[in-house]
Amino acid sequence: MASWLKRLGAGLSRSREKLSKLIPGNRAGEKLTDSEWQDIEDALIMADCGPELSINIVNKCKKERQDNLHQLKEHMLNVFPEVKSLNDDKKPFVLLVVGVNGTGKTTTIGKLATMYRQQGKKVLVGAADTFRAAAVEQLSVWVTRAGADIVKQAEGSDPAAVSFDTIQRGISRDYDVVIIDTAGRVQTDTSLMNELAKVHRVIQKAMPSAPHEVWHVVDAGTGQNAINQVEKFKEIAHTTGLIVTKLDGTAKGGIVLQLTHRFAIPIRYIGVGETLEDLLPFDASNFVDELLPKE
Amino acid sequence: MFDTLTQKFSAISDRLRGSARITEADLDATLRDMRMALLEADVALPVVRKLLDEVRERGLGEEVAKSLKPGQLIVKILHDVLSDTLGGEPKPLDLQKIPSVILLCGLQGAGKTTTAGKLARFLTQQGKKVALTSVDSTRPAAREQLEILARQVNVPYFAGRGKRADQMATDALNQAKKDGIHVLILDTAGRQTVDDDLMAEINKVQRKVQASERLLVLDSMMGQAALEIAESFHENVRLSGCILTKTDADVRGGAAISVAQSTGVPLRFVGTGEKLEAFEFFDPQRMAGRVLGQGDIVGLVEKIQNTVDLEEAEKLAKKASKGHFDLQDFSDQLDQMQNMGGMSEMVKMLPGVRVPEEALASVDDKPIRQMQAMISSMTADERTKPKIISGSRKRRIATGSGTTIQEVNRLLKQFSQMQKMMKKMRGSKGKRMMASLAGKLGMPGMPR
Repeated sequence: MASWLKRLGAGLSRSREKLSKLIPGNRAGEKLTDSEWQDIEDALIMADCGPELSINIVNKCKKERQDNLHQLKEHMLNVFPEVKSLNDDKKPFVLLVVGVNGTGKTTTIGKLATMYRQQGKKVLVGAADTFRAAAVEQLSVWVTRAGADIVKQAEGSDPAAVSFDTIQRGISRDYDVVIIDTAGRVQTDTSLMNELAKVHRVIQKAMPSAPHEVWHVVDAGTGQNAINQVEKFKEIAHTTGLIVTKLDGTAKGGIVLQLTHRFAIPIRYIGVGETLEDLLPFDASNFVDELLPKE
Repeated sequence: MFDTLTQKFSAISDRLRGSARITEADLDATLRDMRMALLEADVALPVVRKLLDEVRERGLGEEVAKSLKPGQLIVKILHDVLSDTLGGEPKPLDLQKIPSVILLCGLQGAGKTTTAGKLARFLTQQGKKVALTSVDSTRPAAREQLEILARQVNVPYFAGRGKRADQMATDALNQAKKDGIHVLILDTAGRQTVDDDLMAEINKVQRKVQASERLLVLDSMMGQAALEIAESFHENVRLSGCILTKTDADVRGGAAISVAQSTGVPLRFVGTGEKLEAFEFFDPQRMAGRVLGQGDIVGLVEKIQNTVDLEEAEKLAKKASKGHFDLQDFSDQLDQMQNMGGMSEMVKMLPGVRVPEEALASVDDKPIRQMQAMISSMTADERTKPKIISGSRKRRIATGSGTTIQEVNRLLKQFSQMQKMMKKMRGSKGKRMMASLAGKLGMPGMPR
């Protein structure tokens, strides 16, 4: 537990450094001046919290005028919805992974496969990204490293067919977890979004209760466009959870607040590094703690 | 979200009216909303501040044309500032040396490898002999991906030998020299973040290959972080340009503004889709409009500024307020409107309104041309004193202009209504005359 908290802290250190420059550390109880609040608002905007939400949070804090950092943390936490438990008690547990290009879907699946393998589960991965050159090879490398199995077909084959085969094999060979990787697609591409809708339908055909979870992978560096992404993918693929990747980057993770603020979709995992162990379960309180400077 | 932005800008340009010059108060009222809009478009905050300072500087005291509102002019100034920031004509790539090296760098998932394939296809079509190579040994199957792309666009792929990136790059360059290649496109490894290792690696590669173009490949959906990324790459390899990817995702493109403003490097190309041919020259004007996310209000403002003779307009306004607006003046107004491209053009440029094609087709300039014909068939007396137009005169005018008496009657009726309205406006100095004229004129041609 302590070790992953440390990793989270390290991963978010960039964001925290920025904020701590702005928010004076040990000043519990002291009132902040207007210009200090303005600095905080700016810092939140620069962390991709979006102008509207940033102004909103700061205004709430200013209205109450009691404490400073505690308050800010409270209001930031209020943004997060209550966490629903995972729908993962079916066998096989079918997980569909979706998102736009380049957010780190394949890498994340490698990490998830590793995690489930470490829990002693039998894992099968379906390579339904049949579009991007060498996507299947990339996934194979990760899956082999994780000690899981893969179902693949030729490049350009029908992703829905790959998904169907994967789930059928998952059922017949007694797998615990089935993960379907899909090609990246921008949310405005209607034909590719229709293809994704078809994948979702076919999965249901292969196993009526599936997919049990649909996770949308979002790059933490994404700006306000992430809101459009999540909205559209939710409509088409019925997203049940978010994974925010590359949080150790220059990105500051404010988009996490934005997304939870707008959609009642929980964030399940965050990626804070490039190694297999750097996929962490998301905890709002820890996240905000690590984002804000230490008191 | 985009619609609200459009509305926001329309609201900004509508709200302020009345002053002859842009005042501090106009600016204060406008810039706060502009700040929000630019931030929503993902322009980095420090860049937003600089842009708005510039708008303030250029805008203060600027004379507002009679037919415009101060808000509209301020939006236009912002558009100019954005266009200037994004640069003028697209700058061609420097590919004089043979072989020239184009080095692509950027973060993971920005789309470097796909862009390498697209760029290879683009340059091949321009008659260049192109080869691809990748020195990305970190991401699994990255090199395989580029090799497949090379096959798809029919250019050789050089698998540079060596352990380190710089060794691989040198080897690939040697092969390019041997094979008489014009342009070697070199794909580098990405990282999740701009770390020192990555920069050191790219630096080493650059020292060995002396790439004439060092292009940053940037995800156009990037948020505030785009600024920091562009700055660190620029510091380390002195970028010569930037390629924006995934612009088909309905992005506002604030990242483009952040990069251009902070580094000053030109934006060269944009990736506009999955397919290898979805790759275009960057168009600064279009991107500026996109960030603003509004109808072409800027175009409208420019047209009004260019076509409307200000003194003429002022004279007209005086006349109108005294109730001396006659058919000759009306005819002049119609001419001016035709100079701006007619009704259909004007409707197309209205901000916040997306007019469907079918509706546009039904916006008809014919009634305006008819009105002009009718007025042309009148004598000078008739134009200044429409009251003298009797039944026989009407018949003459109708015959002369190829219309009917009913149509002449309709014109006279519309004109007298307009005169009444103008008298009412007396005192408000006829400021909104252009707008109401356009409204009046739009009526006969619009579907009822």
